[in-house]
Amino acid sequence: MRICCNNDKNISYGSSWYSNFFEKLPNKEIKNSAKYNKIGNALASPHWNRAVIGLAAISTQPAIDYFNPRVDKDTATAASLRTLAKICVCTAVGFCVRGGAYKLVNKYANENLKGNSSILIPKEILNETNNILKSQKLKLHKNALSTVSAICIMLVTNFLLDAPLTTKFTNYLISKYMSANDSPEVKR
Amino acid sequence: MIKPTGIKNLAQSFSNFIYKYFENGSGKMILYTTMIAMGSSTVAQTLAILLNNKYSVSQKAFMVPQELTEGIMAICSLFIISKPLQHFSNKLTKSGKLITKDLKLYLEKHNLSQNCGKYDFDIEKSINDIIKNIQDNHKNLNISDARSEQIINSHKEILQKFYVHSDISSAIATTAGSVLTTAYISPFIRNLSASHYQPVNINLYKNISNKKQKNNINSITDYKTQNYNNSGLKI
Repeated sequence: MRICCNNDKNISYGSSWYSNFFEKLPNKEIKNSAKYNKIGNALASPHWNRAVIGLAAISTQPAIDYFNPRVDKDTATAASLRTLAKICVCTAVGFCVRGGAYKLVNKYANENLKGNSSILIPKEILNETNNILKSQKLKLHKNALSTVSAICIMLVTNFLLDAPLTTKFTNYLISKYMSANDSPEVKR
Repeated sequence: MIKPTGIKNLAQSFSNFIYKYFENGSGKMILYTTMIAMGSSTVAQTLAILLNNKYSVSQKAFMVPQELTEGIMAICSLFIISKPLQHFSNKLTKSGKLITKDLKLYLEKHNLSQNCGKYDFDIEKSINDIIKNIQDNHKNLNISDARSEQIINSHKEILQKFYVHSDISSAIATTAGSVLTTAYISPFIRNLSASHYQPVNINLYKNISNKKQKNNINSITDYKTQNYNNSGLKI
């Protein structure tokens, strides 16, 4: 371990192998700022973030379940179809709920609008004199508010929408798979 | 009937509660919300598996631990993968290892570009030091208050650009961590765990089912008949 001193007041501790490794990495300058901002802003919004994770999951999870060598073929097939149905349903519902909460919070927590539109901004943020701090706090607050609102809604939709729809879609996929493979039944 | 003022007050109270509770950063918020979301989703999906009569006992015995492991993995990945990646991305932006064109020009203008990419270098602190220096010494340098305000605002603009850059890189790192976990790490671990617990669960279901049958049957003949037809046990 070594001690890194930036100034007298600020002393931080860091491991030497980590700092050595870090300094060996090449410096990278972002040339296309517009594209970088566009990607970053999309990923920072909860609904598009959910969509990206859903797409990543659908690209690998059903295949990994289907080719699982540790279980029999029927179980692997049923697990794979259930995973596929679950990802489709949960991503669609999650995208709609998060997107709705995000848009609603942005609409009602806009500091430029007067009257009812600023009801979601606490006084502590409105009274902040430093503009940079104010915009940072507002951004954090909007994110926290939309995420927590979405989670509150999802506590209900997980049971009333996600689970039943996953079951229905899985059963539909299983029946389609069975008829396509001309097998009497998937289950053992 | 609910009055509009009642809804307004409720929304304001909720907003104030969120602000007070998560004021000191999003780390706590991400942790709690992920735990609640994954917890409820796992319970709902586990119930859906158990109540779906299209699955056989062996399939349910595999899918239930698979679902439970996935929920646990989602929470653990926050600490094991997402947090370190976020920390690394913050270090990349603060040190200037990953930098935007505007910030690079600014550092070159203030003779700080030679520190770019060094482990101990902190762009945010350097900009704040410059602002503090102007605020403290503008009178000694014969700069008027209005002019110093203008100069300070231009530095603050750069600071704002740095925060945006830091937020974006943090969002990309967190998403990369989630994608890595969801698409590659979690499926293998949950399948390993589910395969390990499948035989244990099959025995458990059979024991429960046998106990139920023993309670229901009166004669040995009935018991044998039911036991013989019991190859497709359902929970």
